[in-house]
Amino acid sequence: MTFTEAITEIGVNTEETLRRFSGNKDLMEKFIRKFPQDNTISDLEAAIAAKNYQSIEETAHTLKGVSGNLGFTQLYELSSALVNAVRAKDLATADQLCPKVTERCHTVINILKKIDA
Amino acid sequence: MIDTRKKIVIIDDVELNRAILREAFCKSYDILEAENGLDGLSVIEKNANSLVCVFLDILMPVMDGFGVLEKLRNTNIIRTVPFFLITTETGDDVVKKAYDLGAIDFIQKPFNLLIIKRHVQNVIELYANRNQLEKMFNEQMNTITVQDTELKGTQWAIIDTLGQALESRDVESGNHTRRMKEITETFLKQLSITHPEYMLTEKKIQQIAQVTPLHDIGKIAIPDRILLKPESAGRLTDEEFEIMKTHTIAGCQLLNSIPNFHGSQMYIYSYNICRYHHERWDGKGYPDNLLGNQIPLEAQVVAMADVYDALISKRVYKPAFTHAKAKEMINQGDCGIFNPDILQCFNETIDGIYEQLYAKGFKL
Repeated sequence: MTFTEAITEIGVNTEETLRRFSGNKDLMEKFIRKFPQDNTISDLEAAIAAKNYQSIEETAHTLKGVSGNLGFTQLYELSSALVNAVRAKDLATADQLCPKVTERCHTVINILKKIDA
Repeated sequence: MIDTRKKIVIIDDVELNRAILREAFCKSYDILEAENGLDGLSVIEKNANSLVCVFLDILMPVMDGFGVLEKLRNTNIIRTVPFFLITTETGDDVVKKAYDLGAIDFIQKPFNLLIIKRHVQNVIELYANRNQLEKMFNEQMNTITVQDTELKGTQWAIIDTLGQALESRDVESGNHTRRMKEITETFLKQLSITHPEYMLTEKKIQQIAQVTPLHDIGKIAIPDRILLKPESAGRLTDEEFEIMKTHTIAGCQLLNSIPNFHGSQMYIYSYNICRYHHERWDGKGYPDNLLGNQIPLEAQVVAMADVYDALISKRVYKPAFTHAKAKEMINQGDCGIFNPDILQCFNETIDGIYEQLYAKGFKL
């Protein structure tokens, strides 16, 4: 799978994201390809396992920033919703969103891993 | 200095954020990066003179963005360099805290560079203009302060020279002018305590006292035959006395000839004292026959001091009266009518003044 095919499958708005990297395609690719190594996902999973909602909020907040800047629209929206739910102390909604966020993370990571080296 | 490129500091623990912002601004600026607040602070301090902007993340290890702002609170850096906080959408309390600590604005993730670049560039230019204006203003203020000091020095040299010229004609002794300053200051201080309605501040009192020695400066313009008329030649004729009276207005003309003295508070006090220190409360003084509080307060007080000092000193046309006699004559109205408030100050302080300035001989 090529890089372009992978980000299309993830649903990245390429034009908008490339603009964010000042048109530097290599820089954009470098950071998108680095996403699987980001600790935030494992941090979030640990926080969920510990039911530590403050930590969930913080890691989801970080994930929201990263996914937003990389153009991972779905992941951005899910992590935003999770941050909002914890902030609003709506823990039932937060509990529903947690697995959806981590699931989406792994989907994105798996697609990125399929890119030919 | 001229060749030094302007610098932007990016302080964020997330490499991705730093990379995006670096890419956006590296064509126009040197980019410096730090991964936490503490490192960021030392980068800021090392490059304080060439910084144009700081991007600052809020949540960071070691020291967060608020920590940086708090460290820089009340410094010149926070005033002259715009700080943008990097945030994802943020609660009002965080926004308020950031603004209170001196952040200029926020840049939101996901970054919209179209907005960020324009916005940041506008703010950088705004700050550059403001800093430039402030620098120019300060330089000009310094120049003005130096010139003002020089000017005041020149003015006082001129005034001092005029005073010496008067003394050299043997009209008044230097002691008279110095006593006048002491007496006037004592009256004014007393008046400020007993009659606060005159709103005499310490500064005002000092300024008036300082120009008191100028009250008779116009006598320089009076011919010797009148000014120094010997006792043997008899008292001044009516015509001669009319000429003598012109020393009040002549004094004002001298003051007007001092360059750039006009309009200053000291000029106003000097002018009023020269012109009006022979006016009397009942309108029977000269040269303008002013009545009551039409006479500026500083002139009223100097007049009171002048009359006492004249009575108690020997002059070509009169002997020296005793302190008791002088006090009696003034209270009887023999030397014209004075403002009752100032007469009260006179009576409350004159015994002490006499003891201090006359009884033991006056030395300064």
